[in-house]
Amino acid sequence: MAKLIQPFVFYSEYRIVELTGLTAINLAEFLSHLRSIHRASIFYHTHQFYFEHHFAEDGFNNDFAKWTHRALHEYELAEKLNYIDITAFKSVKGLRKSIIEIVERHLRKERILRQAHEDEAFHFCKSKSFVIPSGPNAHTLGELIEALQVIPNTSLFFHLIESKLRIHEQTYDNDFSVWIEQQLGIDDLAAAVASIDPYFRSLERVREELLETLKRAV
Amino acid sequence: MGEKEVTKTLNDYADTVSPATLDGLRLLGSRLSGLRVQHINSTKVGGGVAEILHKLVPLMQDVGIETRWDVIEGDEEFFKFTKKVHNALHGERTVFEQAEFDHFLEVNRRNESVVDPDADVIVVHDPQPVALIEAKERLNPRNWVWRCHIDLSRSDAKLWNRLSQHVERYTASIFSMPEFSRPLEIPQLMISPSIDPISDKNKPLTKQKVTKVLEGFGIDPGRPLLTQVSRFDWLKDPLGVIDVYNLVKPRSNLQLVLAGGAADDDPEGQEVLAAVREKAGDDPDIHILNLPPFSDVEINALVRGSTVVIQKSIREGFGLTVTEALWKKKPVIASPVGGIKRQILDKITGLAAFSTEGCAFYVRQILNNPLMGRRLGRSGHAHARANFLITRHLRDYLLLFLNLGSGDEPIIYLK
Repeated sequence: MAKLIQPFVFYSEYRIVELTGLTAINLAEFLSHLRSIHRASIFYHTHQFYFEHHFAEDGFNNDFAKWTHRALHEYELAEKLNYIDITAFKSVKGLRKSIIEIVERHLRKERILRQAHEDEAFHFCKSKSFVIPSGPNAHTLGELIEALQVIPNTSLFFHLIESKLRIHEQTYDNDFSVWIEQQLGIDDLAAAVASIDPYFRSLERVREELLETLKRAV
Repeated sequence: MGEKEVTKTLNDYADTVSPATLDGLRLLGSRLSGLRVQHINSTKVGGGVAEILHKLVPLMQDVGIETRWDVIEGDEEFFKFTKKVHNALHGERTVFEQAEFDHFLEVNRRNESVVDPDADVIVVHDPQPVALIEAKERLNPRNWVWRCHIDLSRSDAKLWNRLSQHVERYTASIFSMPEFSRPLEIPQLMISPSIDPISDKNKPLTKQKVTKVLEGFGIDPGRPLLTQVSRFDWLKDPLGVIDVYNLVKPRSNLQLVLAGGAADDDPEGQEVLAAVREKAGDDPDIHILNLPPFSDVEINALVRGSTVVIQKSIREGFGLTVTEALWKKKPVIASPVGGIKRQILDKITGLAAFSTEGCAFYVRQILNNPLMGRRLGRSGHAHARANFLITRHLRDYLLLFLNLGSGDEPIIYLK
């Protein structure tokens, strides 16, 4: 008997930004907050560039790297924070641990605790997401390709990035690769889709690569 | 001069924002159908808050939210006090009398009748009506949100201590930027202000219209133009802008426009305008335009006809004049203060300058490198499109309403 395929259900994600009221003007304060702050704050500051200016190529992939560079002039630390490969983490928990370790290592060898100007304090924010089914569902690879051409970026962001890091927290794969593997049973295509790195390009470019990868398999 | 603009619906934005943006707003609106929302502030005309509410309220209604907007009434003494409060919250040293606070509370009490007892959410804007919350249990015990449009980072401590007693009674608060907020026990959300891309001030204009407006003001459309649009206020540093022009002028055939308004009843504005005129002297290439209200199309044309837009503010709120220039794909040179820091990502969406010399250097750079100006303009436009349009503002309000009572979970699934 043929396997009953569960459709791919598209969701769109919309987020509101909350202010935590926590600020830091040096690395000691920064580290202290990194250890205790809600994981939604870690996610926000490592993905905010996607939310606000993903079109801009300002050389920073996250707010932590940007702040340590621009406000503290800790250039080496900033580069290390900037180089964190988010695709290597299954959850925000692991990502937080890695960020903390980098800052701790830096503090162990630095003797001077630099202070940012009070106008340049780091303000910890966090995002809260509202996830809504936004159809149409896909039952085949062809339908997935068709839908991927029209779904909004809010949906692409959710299925490529947010769902993995904030909801499933158990896989390096994104929603598309998981569905292709589990429902369609096309393992090599699933692996190719899972290997797409969404962090160095705009969502539009990522969409193009995803579509090209899928179309090659049809 | 322009006329009053007509109320808009979401469909009016179909040529300006993506279908996905409008679909998203309708999707969110569908989850809030039947919600009743009331906005309360202190004026229907003049000022950024009224301007935004005139646009937002009809759009909220258009997505299915029953929205009304009411204003409180006060006497001269009340508004004199709230002006002092505004300045003190911006950091000006001010002495307050107990009698002034008593009158402030009394006027708020007298205005209790504006509160809609059936509203699900009441959004109170800025300090003037903040004390209406004292009637919450009696009039409407549901959700009250305080929307602060002011930068409180340098606010007078004693004054904030008194005002925050009212603010802490709200369900939640909204600030334009993290840097503008103060520690509070209630949840704080961030919602940036916005511009309306299809308003008279921002809508596309033909080249002919731009040329006609420039020529009408005696400006040569064929020569480079540096423009600052701001009310005549010391904090906008108009004299500093003339200094920038004077540094660049010997190396170019630059023209300068300082366009703004100075209300007749604002003695300081008149003083600034007089000082600006004196400094400009008889230079025929400096155009000081004290524009009347409803000059939106003219301001639109002046910015569109500019080679470079400058905003040399010493202090700034969010700086929507910068947003308006970014939207028009203009290279912008601005002081990185207040909300400008969120708008000008240095060397990407514009150029951040701290001094007269810094501004002058960048003006010369853009005059000599038009490609650089175009690149900045494109990125600035994309930044404004992604973050500072009224459609994003509406979305944030819809999310705020969904957020109320949704608990602490960072991800909420809606069916």
